[in-house]
Amino acid sequence: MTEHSLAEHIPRLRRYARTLTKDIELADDLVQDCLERALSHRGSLRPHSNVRAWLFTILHNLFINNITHWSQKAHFVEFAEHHGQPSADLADHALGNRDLARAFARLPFEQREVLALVVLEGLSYKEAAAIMDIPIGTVMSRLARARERLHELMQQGTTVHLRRIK
Amino acid sequence: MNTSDPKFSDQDLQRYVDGELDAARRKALEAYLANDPGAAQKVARLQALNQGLRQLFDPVLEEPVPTRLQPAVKMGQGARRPSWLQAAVIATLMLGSGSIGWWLGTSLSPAQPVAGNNSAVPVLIEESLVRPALVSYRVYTPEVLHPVEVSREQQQHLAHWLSKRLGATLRIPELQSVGFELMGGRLLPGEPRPAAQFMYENAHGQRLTLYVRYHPQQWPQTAFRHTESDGVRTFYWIDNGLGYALSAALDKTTLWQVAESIYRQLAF
Repeated sequence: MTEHSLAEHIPRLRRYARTLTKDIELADDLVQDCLERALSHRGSLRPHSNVRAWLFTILHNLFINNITHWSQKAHFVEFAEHHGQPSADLADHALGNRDLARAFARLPFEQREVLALVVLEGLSYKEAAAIMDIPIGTVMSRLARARERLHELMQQGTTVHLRRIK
Repeated sequence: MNTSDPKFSDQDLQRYVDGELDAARRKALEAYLANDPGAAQKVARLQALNQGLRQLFDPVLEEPVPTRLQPAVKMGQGARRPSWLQAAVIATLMLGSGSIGWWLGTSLSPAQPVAGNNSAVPVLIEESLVRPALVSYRVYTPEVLHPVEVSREQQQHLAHWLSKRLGATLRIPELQSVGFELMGGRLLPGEPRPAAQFMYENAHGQRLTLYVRYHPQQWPQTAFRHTESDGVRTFYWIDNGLGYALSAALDKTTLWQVAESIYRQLAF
């Protein structure tokens, strides 16, 4: 395995990292650490194994091992505004997207993570459970809580005030 | 919370939306949804949320990959932060405003691509600096009788001897200002040149080691890096071919203060 064969996974890793951190630069820092670790531990990857799942597990573990660092909120506002950018086609839903971005940013990281793996990556409950090292039942309950919470937060909608947290 | 029909719980609805139901169960649920508007609404809500999340994050997949994550550039540089940054950081530290988060968390500028594609470099640093440093830490810090080979009473001789064997001038940092007293040092095996280890101890008997190797051909300059392994924390960096790995079973803040002190003493 070379750094070039890992390259195809980078966009997905960036997206995953972006859901975990609240800062775009930090997300890329996390991906970089993940790639470096993957390369130095490539000997531990068994043949025919799922490289994407392996990479996602490494990134998950890196995040968990240093949550305080990766969860810095200095750019909270930037995150929400960046992700609230509506595409031209969805001008009607612009407000909805911004609300969703802000609501999502307010979820605890465990809930953001399970949504990222199941909804964004389309992983099965079993695959997500393996990456996060939790039972499948916990995946399901986290998903349910995450979705409930998002719904609640979005109902609050325009009454949500952004706090700039340093 | 259950829906009115005992056959399908909210959990089932979630499973359905996440594609976790087998074909038979899926069909049965779809037939049920046709007759239960409450459940159908819940499903629609879940699906809308899924779609919203994808719309929010899928654009990341289309973004151009930043230069520093691209293979050739990343490997060639060997470190995230260019070395000119170190001078700026030292200046900041001397003003007393340095903080761990700033050091380790922020990439201040887009990395400048560096020519060369030495794909072995990051592996080399971990294998030739961090790993032996950790092994040496674990082997020698528990020693009661012989923690060091040459004690601090012969500090000058120690520095001179190890410098000769390593092939580079070594200075032994003074860590009393951060609570640590030099115990002494030793010579350690290494190829092509041996390595050095200095051991310090604080008033509580906690020990740290500073592992030093000289590898000018193979090591690029790096900024501070940090790793943690089984309760032992290591800060490491490479400066002009000299690699330093500071290891201890200490919290990050304390060890950081020590690392910063060492760095400042040895960088000038």
